[in-house]
Amino acid sequence: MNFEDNKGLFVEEARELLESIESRLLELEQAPGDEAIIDDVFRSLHTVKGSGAMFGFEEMTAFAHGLESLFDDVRKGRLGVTGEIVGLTLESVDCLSSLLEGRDDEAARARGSIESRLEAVRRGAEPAPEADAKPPAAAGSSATDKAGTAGGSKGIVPIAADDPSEAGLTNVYRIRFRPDADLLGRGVKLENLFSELAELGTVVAVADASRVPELDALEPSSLYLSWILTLSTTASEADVSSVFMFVEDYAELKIERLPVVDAEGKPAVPPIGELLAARGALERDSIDEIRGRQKPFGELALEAGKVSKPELEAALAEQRMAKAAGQERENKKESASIRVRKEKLDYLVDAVGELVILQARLRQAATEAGLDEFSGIAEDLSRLTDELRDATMNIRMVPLDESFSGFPRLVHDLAAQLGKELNLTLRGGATELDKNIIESLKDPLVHIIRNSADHGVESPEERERAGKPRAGTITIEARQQGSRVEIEIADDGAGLDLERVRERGVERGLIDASERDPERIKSLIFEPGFSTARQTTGVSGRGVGMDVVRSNLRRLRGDVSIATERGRGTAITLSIPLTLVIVDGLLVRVGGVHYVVNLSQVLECVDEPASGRAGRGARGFIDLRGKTIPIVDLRERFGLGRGDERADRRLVIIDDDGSVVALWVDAVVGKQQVVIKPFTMDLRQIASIAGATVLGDGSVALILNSREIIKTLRRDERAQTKECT
Amino acid sequence: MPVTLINDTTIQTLLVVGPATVAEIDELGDAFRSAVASGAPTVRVDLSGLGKLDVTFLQLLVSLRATLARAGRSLSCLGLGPDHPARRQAAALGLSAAFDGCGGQR
Repeated sequence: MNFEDNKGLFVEEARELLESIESRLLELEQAPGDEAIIDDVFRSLHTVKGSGAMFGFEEMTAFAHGLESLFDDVRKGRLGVTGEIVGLTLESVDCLSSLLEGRDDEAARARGSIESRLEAVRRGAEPAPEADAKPPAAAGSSATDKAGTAGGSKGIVPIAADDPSEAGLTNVYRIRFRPDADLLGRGVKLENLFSELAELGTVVAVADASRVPELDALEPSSLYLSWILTLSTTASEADVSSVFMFVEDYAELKIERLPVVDAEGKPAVPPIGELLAARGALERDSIDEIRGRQKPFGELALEAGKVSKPELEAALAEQRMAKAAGQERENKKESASIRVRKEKLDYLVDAVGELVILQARLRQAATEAGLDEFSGIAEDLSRLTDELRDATMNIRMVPLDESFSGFPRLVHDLAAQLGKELNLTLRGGATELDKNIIESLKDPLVHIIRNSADHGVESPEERERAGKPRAGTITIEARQQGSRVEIEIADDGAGLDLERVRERGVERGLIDASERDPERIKSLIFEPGFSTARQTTGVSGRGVGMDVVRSNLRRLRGDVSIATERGRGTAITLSIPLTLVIVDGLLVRVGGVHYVVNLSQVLECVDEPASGRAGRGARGFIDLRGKTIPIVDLRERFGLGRGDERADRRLVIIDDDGSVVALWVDAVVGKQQVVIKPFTMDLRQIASIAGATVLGDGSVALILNSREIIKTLRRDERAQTKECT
Repeated sequence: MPVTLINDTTIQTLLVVGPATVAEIDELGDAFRSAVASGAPTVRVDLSGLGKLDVTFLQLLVSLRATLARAGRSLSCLGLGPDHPARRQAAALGLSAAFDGCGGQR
């Protein structure tokens, strides 16, 4: 991995940190006294700043420094959390984001104003002579009242200066750091890393130069040094670890927190001999022997050649710091995950996809060859491939929280922009989806939320008149339904005015004036440029957005539906397949063409009954154990002709989210694992086909979009009913 | 050129001017090797013109000192006052020993 790769990794990490800061700030707005959130924000800002410096984001680092100082004031109780501070920090996070993404002009425009306001806020943090020494948590109304009397900026609450108990929270860490020889070639600047560490407290660095070779063997740009760093700090172990976030993969790193109090809570000051033994630098047996020499132990150990000078120096530093440290705080946090670039994962999935196809070919060849041993090997390979496929697909599954994380900020900003009161409820964030799908879902979700906030939820006054709470609620809930995930975005607003939608549809010539089918009318809002808004706002109303929702969903082989009730609200449900890449399918043949039905939807396969079928095509039905199931003739659906009427055909019974239909096919070939290949634009237009796949013999099969087939069937049924009436 | 080698029969002087970071380190390494190869009993490094440095330069000095010491030769170092920023940087990296014996006078 070179410098650019590492820089890319940093950008990715920093994006996540900024997102996390944003969501924590919104939580802080609701709980202004929550010290854990304040600490979290401070830590994240500190990491953005420190890591930014390591990768040359100097402007970003300088800007983050100001913000970090603000939160340091908050953390130390010199400032209370106010709406102004939260708002200003959110703006600052946007600015940091612009700097991170290289939108320098945008950042420059915002930066001047933000920095002067930050400065003004921080001026308010200077302890006022008559200020009450109250705990920092007070940021409610009483705290805000105090701002005026303290003479600070509006909304700023100067409160007690330093927390006297802080000195008691000091910990001492022993950090063994042995970088890989090529670390500097990755663009890492160790000086910045060490100085970032020094910002956490007092650090003593002792370098071990014993591996530095003589000049003839020295590769000057390689690193041969290693360090033992002793750090005395009030920061947690996670904070200390975060300093090494971008180098830990390229170094041997061990961070140990040392006990600074004994079992009785008294300062623990281990003798230097014990310390050296604990560090593995000295045999315990040697301790008494050396003690007998009546010199300072360290000196004696050094003279005796039992320890190296760097080890002793580091141990002495540790001892000094342990004396000063008072209270032990357990905050051990180990990371059990690794970060992998998405491109690498995509490559892995592609490779597994190819393996699946190859395995299918092998199995087919084995069957055709009729060799038992060959078939056995092919079966074993097949099992292994299945496991590999599942494991690989599982790696790509990430929780929807990732997609949800930006929504609190979005709703917060929309509320301010529209002058509405909005609550956001998120449920089911742990539901997992393919990473690529999650990324594609962000835009549709944003469009729907904007629409809900703008057109769904009424103004506080209207809501009061309607007997509703002033604040509207938007609820986003995710849940897994078989091989699909559903995401419902519901609001408790006014609901769709279907009559208005219908009128608008008629005006635009999208529907006939006699059209009354609510499903058809509701679907109009997904038409490009369709809007019932009487005026365009900065948020929505241009009719751009909901069509994007539908087109994005189609690309994902997903579906969108609407439920609405006048005065009660609207719920839009997105239904998306769990993964886009490999599925278990049932291979069928219709008119000489192979099709794949998603196996998770197949209930059973039955022979075409001699009787009980009321007719052919979409108008036919089968009576299956007393249940009437509509038949879809795939020959007819895909214009493949009627075929041999006398030939035996089969019915594949499928269930798509409660809708059961029978697909009429020529033959059922068998179960097949298929790798879904992307379509060209032209083929994407065929709604009943979700994709294509390559079979074991190299031929192509089309993957059926069962949901779309059922929808078309329902549409046909409604049309027939209309005709009859 | 970040480094100039001044030949003398008994003392080889390396005059380091400007930055001494990973970008210049290969060139500095070559010059240091030449100074050692000359066989002069003493190698002197003049750091009075030293600019920005990083860990690679400190490591190079450590290596030079060890190389000379093994051959029974000595390294002298000058031009680095007690308050020179390079000393603070070396201390922060735990490598103060790299400047052992470095005087402030030329």
